[in-house]
Amino acid sequence: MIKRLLLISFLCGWYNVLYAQKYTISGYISDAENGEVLIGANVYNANDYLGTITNNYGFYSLTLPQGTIKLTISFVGYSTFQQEIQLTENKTISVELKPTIEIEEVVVEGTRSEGGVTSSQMSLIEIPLKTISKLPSLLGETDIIKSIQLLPGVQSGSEGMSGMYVRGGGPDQNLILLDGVPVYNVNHLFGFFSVFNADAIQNVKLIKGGFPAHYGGRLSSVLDISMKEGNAKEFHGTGSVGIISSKLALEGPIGDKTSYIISGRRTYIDVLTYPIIQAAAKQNGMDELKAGYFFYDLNAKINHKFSDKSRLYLSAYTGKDKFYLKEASTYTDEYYNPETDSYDTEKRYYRNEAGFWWGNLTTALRWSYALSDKLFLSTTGTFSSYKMVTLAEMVYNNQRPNRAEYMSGILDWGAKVDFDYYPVPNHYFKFGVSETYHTYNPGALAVSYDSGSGEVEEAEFGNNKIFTHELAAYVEDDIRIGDLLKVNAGLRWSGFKVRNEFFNGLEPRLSARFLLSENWSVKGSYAQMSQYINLLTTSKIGLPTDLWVPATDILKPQKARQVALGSMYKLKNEYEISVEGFYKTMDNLVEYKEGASIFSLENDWENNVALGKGWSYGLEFLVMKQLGNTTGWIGYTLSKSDRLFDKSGQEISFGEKFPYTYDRRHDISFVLSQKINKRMDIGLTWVFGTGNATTLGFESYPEYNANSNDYYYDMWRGQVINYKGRNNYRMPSYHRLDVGINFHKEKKWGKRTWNFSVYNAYNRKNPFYLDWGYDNNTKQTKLYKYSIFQIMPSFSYSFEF
Amino acid sequence: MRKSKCYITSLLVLLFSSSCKEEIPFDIPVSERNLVLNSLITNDSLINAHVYRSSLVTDNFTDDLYVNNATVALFQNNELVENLTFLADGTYQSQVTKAKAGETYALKVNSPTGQNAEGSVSVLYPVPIMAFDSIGIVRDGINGEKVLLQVKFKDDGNTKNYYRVSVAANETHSYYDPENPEMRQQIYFLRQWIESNDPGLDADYDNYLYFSDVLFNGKEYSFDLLMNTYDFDYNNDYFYVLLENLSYDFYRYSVAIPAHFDAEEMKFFMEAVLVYNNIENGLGIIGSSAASVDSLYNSNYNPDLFR
Repeated sequence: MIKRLLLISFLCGWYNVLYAQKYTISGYISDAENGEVLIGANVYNANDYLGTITNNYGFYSLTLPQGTIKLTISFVGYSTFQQEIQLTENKTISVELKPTIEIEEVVVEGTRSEGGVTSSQMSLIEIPLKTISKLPSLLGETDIIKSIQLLPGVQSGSEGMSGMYVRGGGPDQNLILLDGVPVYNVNHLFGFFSVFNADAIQNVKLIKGGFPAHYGGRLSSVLDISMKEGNAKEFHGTGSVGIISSKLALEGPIGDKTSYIISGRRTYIDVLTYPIIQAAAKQNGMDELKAGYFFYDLNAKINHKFSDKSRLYLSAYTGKDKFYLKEASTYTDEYYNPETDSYDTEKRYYRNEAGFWWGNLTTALRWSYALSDKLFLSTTGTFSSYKMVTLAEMVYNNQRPNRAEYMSGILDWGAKVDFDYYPVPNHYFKFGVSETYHTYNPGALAVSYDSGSGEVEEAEFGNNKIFTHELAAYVEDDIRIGDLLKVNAGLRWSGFKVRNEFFNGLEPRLSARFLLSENWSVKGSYAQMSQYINLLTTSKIGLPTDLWVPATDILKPQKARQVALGSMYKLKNEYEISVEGFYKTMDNLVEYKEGASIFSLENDWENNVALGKGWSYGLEFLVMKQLGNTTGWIGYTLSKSDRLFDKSGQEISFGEKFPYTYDRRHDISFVLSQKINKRMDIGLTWVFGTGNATTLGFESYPEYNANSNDYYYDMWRGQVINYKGRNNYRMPSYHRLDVGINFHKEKKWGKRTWNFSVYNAYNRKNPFYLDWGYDNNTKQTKLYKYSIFQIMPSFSYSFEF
Repeated sequence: MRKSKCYITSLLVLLFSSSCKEEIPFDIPVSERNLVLNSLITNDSLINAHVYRSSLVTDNFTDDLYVNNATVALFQNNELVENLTFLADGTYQSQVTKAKAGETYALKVNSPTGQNAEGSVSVLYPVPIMAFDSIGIVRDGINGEKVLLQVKFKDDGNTKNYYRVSVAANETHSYYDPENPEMRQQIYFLRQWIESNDPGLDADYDNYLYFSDVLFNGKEYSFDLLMNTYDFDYNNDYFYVLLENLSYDFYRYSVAIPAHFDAEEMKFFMEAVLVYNNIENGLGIIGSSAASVDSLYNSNYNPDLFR
């Protein structure tokens, strides 16, 4: 089928090339105010609506028949550019679009967007950063991942967490790219905040299905985040001061051809609590006491324009969470001395130091080059590392330190070459290859201690590093067949070399849209995905101790197949209404075996995991408005997601099908951003979700005791909880309202904004965790829910200059 | 790793100490307590059964769980052979019938409240021990030195086998008998603390090591186990090894039990472990064990001789 479609499209395309005189217009589209390239801007001839969109570098290429064309360039939030051109030769036209002020939004009649209704891509949502920044936030921290969680098909996991569960998939099944580099742990503070600093982000794109062939390596979603390139026109800065953190971003040009952006964010809970801790140390007579927690992020990007055709980008991100404790004391110890038959005293000293930190470092060096007006090349080298370290050190008197250090993580070196080829308006080819060298460190404990004889003993436990190669090659074509049908057909080959095993396979991708009218289309897609990396997690909360491990000869690669059907309607050019149904199957899903966990160091991790299957299906509705004074969306998802682990020796829940922890039958989100006037806007979000599935036992019974023939021992037997099955109980439903208000004011030096937000405005006690507890008043055991975030007001002050 | 567990736990405790706790109105979807039957039928031994009732999580701990007035009927190859005699605290025992390898036994419990529960199991044949010996001393990380012992046996290739191994020692203790004012001696057989790094090990619980023949089906196999050097002191003349051939159900149950209790202790880090049951209309386990025994003479009580 795919071959046939490709053949037809080739024939259609090349016929036109041979029998009509055509010329190519190419160039870059960027923001007139800051020079940032615009990704996904529509470029088309308004006479016949033949067009294309800009790629990730703002480049476009459009080949049209000789004659008069009405070149039109549009992008949400920007004034539409339109110019009549006599096309008698190849032309390079780069355009800078001017941002519109929402209240003065002008919609050019006759425009047609290549996104949304007319795009062959389905299950894709782009959220404008402007909308995200206006939404109410937890403790004043605008959070991209938490905004993504408000979209249909995306579940949020536990209360307050940044985990993403897309269409019944696990948190490891999301390919989260920051400037094309995978980020492995996107959580700060156990997931209450995500690592992405919104001030440094230019564009966020989420794909839940119908994946184009240039994406691969994960089963459930792609979250493609592009960092800003930095203002190429003039120096600017933004920043904010909030309750728990502050951030600052600076950007500007260096000469005519180079621009940069650097942004940082740090929490200061540790700084604020420092005087309290010092007072406690003094009160307890301690020599030293330091304890605290902080996280920070640092984003930087520099790009240089060698010529109109050639650009170089270097971007980096690093972030870290750290808990630390250091205490030291000198004290006088009294002891009995048998030689003098009296009590002597001696000065003793101890020092304890403990730390626990995790963090990412990602870097991308990219060179983009327009090889011709139809062929665009991007070459990228990437580095990504995630590391978690726990350290404990204890020194007593003059002994050598007793020290334990546990470390796990993953480190990647990658390279890829991508081409965009625009031979004729009816075809947009993408093809490329990539290779990533992974080093997995699935948990190792190093211990050194004073043996007492003055010698230091050392020991190491845990798992060995694993080195793997991940390869991929892809080709895809976005084909326009007639006026109504558009197809994106692609094929991806992926390979994975681990130890002496080489896995590889083909992943066909197909998505298509058929226009029912100018504003209404139906879409369908099929995608086959492979995943060679697994996250071993307890699935209760996203702990940094979760292990990234590769597919091996024991853990076969995860596979998924997803079909989706949907329809999209654009109402009055303002509202996008979409409905999508999906069905997804997943194989070789990984879970810890029952009884195993991150702490099962005595066995190799491969022996601690079970392989199983998963199913997920559902319906998603979305009504979104991106223009005007009122923006936002209403989303609803009806879905079901199950798991089955029934392989012999790896049974979970007695080998029977059970609901996935984040199986959520109903999920509703309502997001509103309302601009009142130039100085004030308000934001509001309301979410509702069926309660998470959890495992709860109602009954217990005595274990068989090995000593039960011995009466004395019988009394020591334990009580076994009788669980009917995993995730057999539903927590109470989750719902929450957040509201926020922003006050803006123009100042001589720029603009300032006061934000006041209330998280969980009606103080709903949403369940984070359920457990049995004993009520001393009624003398009864009861079921309790524990909630973390109750009503939580916050404010922040932000500025732009 | 234990340290990191402590830190994470501390942080979570901190988190929850500032969190809100609220009762959830809740009806337990269990109408009545289940009858519980636990029995491990051992070849050449009288048959014991332990009968309890389950308790709901909302029950008071002081509730009595023993079922003392039940009728426990013992069937051998589907024929009633006797009703077990009540001993004490929910324990019932056969007076005549000793379990034989190759026979199938069923226990049917009828409680005074009219509840019935039953289960059955076939008793397997013991797997003879070919050798039991010490083969040296190993250094085990930071825990010091241990004597490495080896149990050699030939697995039956025609069946899937599930084993557990334990080591017992005769320990002699002196005590003063006030009724006959003199010092007396009593000999105990106590299971010793053992562990194993054997790749086949599936569980380690209550000084029993559990493993299956998945790595050596039908072959001779030497299972390694470790004992502390200080166990080789003057208290013990002999060490006895018991190699038990277990029924699959009992093995599955036994392997799940320690994992179940670990998971209950570490709720935040582990999913709940479901424990296998094979009692119809009730809860609990009926299993079988056939043991082979060998001994090792503790010569000179000196572990250095094993070097």
